[in-house]
Amino acid sequence: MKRILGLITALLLTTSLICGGVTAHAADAADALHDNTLTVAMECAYAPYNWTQPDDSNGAVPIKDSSDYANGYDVMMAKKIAEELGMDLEIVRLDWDSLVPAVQSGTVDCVIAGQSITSDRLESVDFTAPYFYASIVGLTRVDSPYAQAQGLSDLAGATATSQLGTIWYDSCLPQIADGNILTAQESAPAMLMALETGRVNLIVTDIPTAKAALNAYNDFVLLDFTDTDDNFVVSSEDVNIGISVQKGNTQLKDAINGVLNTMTVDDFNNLMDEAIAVQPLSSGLPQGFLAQIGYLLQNYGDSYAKGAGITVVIAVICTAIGCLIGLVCGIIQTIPCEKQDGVCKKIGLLLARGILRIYVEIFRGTPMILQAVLIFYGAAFLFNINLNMWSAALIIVSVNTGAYMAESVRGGILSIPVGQTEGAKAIGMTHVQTMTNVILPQALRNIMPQVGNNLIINIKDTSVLFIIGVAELFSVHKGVVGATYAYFPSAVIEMGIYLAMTLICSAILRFIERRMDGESEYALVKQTGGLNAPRHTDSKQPKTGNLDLEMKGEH
Amino acid sequence: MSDNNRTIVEVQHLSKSFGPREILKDINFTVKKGDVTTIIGPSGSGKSTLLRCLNLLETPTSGDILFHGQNIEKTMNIPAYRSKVGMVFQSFNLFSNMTVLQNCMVGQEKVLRRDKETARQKAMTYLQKVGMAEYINARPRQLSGGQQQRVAIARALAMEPELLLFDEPTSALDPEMVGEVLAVMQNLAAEGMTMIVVTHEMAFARDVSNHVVFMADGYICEEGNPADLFGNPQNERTKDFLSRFRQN
Ligand SMILES: Nc1ncnc2c1ncn2[C@@H]1O[C@H](COP(=O)(O)OP(=O)(O)OP(=O)(O)O)[C@@H](O)[C@H]1O
Ligand SMILES: [Mg+2]
Repeated sequence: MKRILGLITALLLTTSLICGGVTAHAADAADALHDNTLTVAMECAYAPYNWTQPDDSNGAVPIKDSSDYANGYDVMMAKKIAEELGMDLEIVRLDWDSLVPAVQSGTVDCVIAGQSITSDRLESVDFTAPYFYASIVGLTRVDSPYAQAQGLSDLAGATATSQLGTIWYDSCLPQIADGNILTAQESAPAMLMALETGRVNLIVTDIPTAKAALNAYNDFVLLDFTDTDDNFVVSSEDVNIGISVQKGNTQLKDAINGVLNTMTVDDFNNLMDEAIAVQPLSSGLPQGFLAQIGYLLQNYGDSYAKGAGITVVIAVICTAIGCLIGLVCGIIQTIPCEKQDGVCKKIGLLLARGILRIYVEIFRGTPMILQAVLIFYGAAFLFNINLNMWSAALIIVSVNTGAYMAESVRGGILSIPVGQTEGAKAIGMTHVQTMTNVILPQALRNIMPQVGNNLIINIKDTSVLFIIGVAELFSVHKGVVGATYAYFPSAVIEMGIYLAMTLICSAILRFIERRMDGESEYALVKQTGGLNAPRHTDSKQPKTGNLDLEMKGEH
Repeated sequence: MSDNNRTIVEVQHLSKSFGPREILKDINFTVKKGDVTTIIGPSGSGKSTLLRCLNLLETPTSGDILFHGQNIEKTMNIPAYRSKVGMVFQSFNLFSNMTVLQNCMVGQEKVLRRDKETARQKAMTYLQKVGMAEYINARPRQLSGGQQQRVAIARALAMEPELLLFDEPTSALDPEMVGEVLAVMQNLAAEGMTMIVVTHEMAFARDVSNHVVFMADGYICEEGNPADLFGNPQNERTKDFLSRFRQN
């Protein structure tokens, strides 16, 4: 029902085709039934199917590697399935685009996340029978001319939008006669914001999303034309919501189907109503922007703080490691290669430089978000290595920073005037001594602004780690917004936190730079008597007249 | 200056090319202990290149440089050799990340492996000699050109080299600072320091050095004691060069 297969899935599929054998690890996932833990992935940001909440109220389940809890229709369904199968339940929070790769690579046992059973997806994963039927409806505001619409034809000429990559946008909106269709929105909360702020008069979505939205926005009106002739035309593929498992894992699929077979459509709808009733903010957001910010800080303050903490820790550690990597690369790149050097040294240096060049170009030249997916899921998919989420995050960001810093360090070293090297050589220093005592201290000082840049970039760019489920600051935003629809207030809070973090980091770095520069003035050290030597500053050059230099001979 | 006849450096058939251009051609000369040799000549004649070949900042294309009879390229450890042959540059080249004192200590500690206290005392001795002992806490950028050059001389002296090379040490200085640096060099000469000085200061060549080498187009055209070379030059190019100098 939501976005179609992401670019990333396509990328992974291509990789897997090249390497041959897509179902190589089916057997591993079947182990799910043996190790007796059912690992279920979902976004935890797609109310009322699944959302994040700060406590375990209403039967919420802890999210793996996080202090938050997940709840919603999917969680309730997952609990029921795990209970019926006599298994322990583990909820993993993943970005929407990572759900298919995660189940494909066997990183998780199944995905219960409001995925519709499309033929595209069926090429990558297997689906159980539907666990919900999500009919298509419209939403508008009470004050809009469409509030009284009785059928699809009454919506003619509406200004409308929906969510990117959904059949709501791709096949339902075009059915509106003379519709003014605006660009698709990146998420359900964003789409609701577009309606609330009056940028559109109509959005099209499924019934659970619409019902949940009615709770949060009390000026919204539901336009449900189901069971009339004047309704959106959709195929069953578009409304059947299923649970996906790894291709060929019939054991798990059959077990889940066994549970679903005992439930009726009414059971599904009742469970969904139950979920909508306990969704955070089911009673509506407080009125007023500041009140909403206050509400979020009060209820999700801990989540924001933890997200910020994780973001800073990852950014600082990775900037440090990245600088070390960059330093090593930069030093290797600038080792002089002279005529008289041995063949081994020359070949070794050439080889090392070639490898470093490739490393720098690849990691500088591709988006970190794709690297994250490839390293995290690729390792599991191709080599059956299940990287811990945190190690993956640290590796990805460090290696990226290293690629940028390698060039900065190289530039920093090359920017030191050649006279410094010659001065050092002339008193007999070796290359290593010259580098450690003279060149690197100066080069490092010169690249401090680059280190600062990288730290700040890392603070912001760790946000792409949500794709592999790291609960950094931006993923907290996604979680909060997915549960509460408080899109705008949460964005303002996040902006404030990011800005505070980057400002503090800049200030600290500038302080370090000043320390590295040393004293801006110096005291003359009188050699014979005379305390209280005058202090000279940079601008006032000391005069040489008072020196008792013995001049022998005249010029 | 000194009647000690020990030869320190002997240059034999030295030549140096940059690509197809031959910059130094069949250079031969000898430096004995206590000699103050000045090298003069028109711009581009290869004076700096010769000096840089002497401590291997440039690798000679052919020919030999003997240090106490040993071929420096073939038999000596290059850093160890350089620690015995100091060099003072036109552009000072003080380490800008260090204070004056650290500049004068780092080579002693890292290259000669002297302990900190010894290095400090030696540094202070030579800084005092060049009149810069008061400025030990200053950084190079906080000093005038003449002061920087005097520190650079102290840095070279602190290594207690057998031979000191100067490449136009006063050319980058404002006129009022030239005197202070020349005075220091003159002092060193008087104390018997062996030096090779590339310079445009004809007065220094004439009055302080005991041997003058005139270079043009990569050749040594003429050499001899200052009185002869300045008083009665034999070579046409030397005459031409010196006459232009007198006019200025
Ligand atoms: N690294 C180099 N590559 C190519 N040519 C060089 C290099 N260094 C010096 N030269 C050339 O060698 C010639 C001699 O240069 P050098 O610096 O030795 O002259 P100089 O006698 O010291 O001149 P000046 O009095 O102006 O300092 C010049 O023509 C110069 O262009
Ligand atoms: Mg020169």
